[in-house]
Amino acid sequence: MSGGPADRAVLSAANISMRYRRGGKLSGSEQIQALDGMSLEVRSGEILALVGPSGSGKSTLARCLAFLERPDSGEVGFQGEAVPWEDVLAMRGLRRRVQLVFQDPARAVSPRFTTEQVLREPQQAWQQRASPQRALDWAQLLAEVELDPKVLPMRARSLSGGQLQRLVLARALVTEPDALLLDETFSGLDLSLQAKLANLVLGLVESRGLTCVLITHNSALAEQLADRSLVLSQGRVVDERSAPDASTGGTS
Amino acid sequence: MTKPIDSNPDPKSPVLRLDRLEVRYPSRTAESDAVVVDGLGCEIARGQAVGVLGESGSGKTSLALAVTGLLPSEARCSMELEILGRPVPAAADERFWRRLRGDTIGMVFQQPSLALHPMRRVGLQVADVLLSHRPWSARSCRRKVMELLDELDLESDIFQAFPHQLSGGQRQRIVLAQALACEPSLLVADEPTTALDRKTEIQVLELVRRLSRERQMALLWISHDPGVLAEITDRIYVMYAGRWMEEGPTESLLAEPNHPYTKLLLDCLPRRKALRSEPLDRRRLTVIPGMAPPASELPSGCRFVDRCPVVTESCGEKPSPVPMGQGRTWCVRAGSTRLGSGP
Repeated sequence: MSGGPADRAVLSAANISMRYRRGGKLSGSEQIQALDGMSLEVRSGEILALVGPSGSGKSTLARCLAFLERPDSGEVGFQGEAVPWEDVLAMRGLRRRVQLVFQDPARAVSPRFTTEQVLREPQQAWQQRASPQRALDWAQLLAEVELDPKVLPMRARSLSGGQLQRLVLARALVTEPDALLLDETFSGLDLSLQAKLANLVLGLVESRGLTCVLITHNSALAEQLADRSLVLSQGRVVDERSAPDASTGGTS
Repeated sequence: MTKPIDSNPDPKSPVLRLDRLEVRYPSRTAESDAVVVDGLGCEIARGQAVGVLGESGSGKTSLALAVTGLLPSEARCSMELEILGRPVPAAADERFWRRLRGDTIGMVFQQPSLALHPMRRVGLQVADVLLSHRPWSARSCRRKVMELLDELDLESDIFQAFPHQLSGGQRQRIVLAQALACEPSLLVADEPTTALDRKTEIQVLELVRRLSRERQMALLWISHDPGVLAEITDRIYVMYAGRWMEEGPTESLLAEPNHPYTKLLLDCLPRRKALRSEPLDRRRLTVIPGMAPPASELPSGCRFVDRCPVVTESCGEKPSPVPMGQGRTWCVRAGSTRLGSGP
């Protein structure tokens, strides 16, 4: 991978703020400032890590960058242009290009769906509007995430945790996105599985030329995988760490 | 209310002595039973913290369930278990275990949100433990709960809260308060901090460590994360496919593992720092090739034989423990060759 002229922003956020209201006996009616004037750029082809404790706004930021949530103020941009939140049809087209993968795959799929149904859903949603219709190469898709084609007719509830995690990765790839947002995808996994999945994602980023945003609280993992890390705290970017350049500094 | 096991017997006897634990599940499809735990033994002294390191499917949860009498009814379990020097009878029924659990043995499991009743105030849920084990009035139970909340760094108005109003860390502390309410001699914890973020996790671990020192409480801490066990335990048992692979003092085991499995597992931790514009291939993490054997088709000898990089002919026999330093390693090659240098 070479940086150079391809360093344009795939995703960007300019001064975005997001506030949630929470009501409750203990907390009173309190407002939570999830994002507080955050700005960042995700460059094409890079792996960017967002590191921070829970409550620092990582997941809200991910939802905004995946165009699932509109910030209260500020602008979210895709490939240099501000996202047209009002244009519902255009937004649908945009959402397929940025895919979000969550931490707990068991809660991200219906346990009664078969693997094939899980993968068909985004395909159908996308192809209703796409023309010409495109057939999906199941075998190739499953091979990409190292899943056995035998799982296609199996129901999601009968898959192991590792298989499910691969399945939700495959689902995210169905719509051929430009960017992949991984929200704590590697958290709470066994060491050996975490390593296998991280390697799998590295392979996908390389073979598909994806841009990847890795949200994690594991800073060792972020350092091993990412080109750049942003440290978030209380809805702001408080620190930026770039990996040293291979040509100038540091040996492995 | 009589207690099945006195909490103040001979102070020299270990809190827990377990031998020949075997847990198997009858299989509907395969002919042979699934052997989940196969002949494990361990001992935990007063105030000692013992960790079990294993991946999912290694049988570590079955181990926790077996020593708390919580295995599902279809599981077949045999073991020699002594709690505070008194044997637990093989025919121990639910009534026996009920008096033991929550009193002499406290438990914390992985998901605090599943362990709490969503519609009952959390203070009352802690008081329930005391009401069922102590002949105390409601008022003194309430006073004790308040003390516990204070000890666990929780505000006293949390007593009135419902679980959904609390954060994950607060909920896990409430579950911990339940487990600690009757001042147990042994706390069994099965991955209780996996759902918490790193900062909250460390806080909970430090809290448990402090309490176990103050009360001389023994800990059996089960986890897949070596970082967590390094934080809290004195001794670690490494478990793979239902058997011990290696055990020893925490520091030396994590720094210089003797078993090839432990070595490979610890190699999976991210250690290297990425460099900009280097090939992504170089950022790959080390993985253990292959998969753990299914519990119905276990190899007869060493369980790790199919994935081991330094396998020899004698690996087909069941390994017996080899003393290594202050620990033991269940590997025929242990001590004879330097591991990792290849055959």
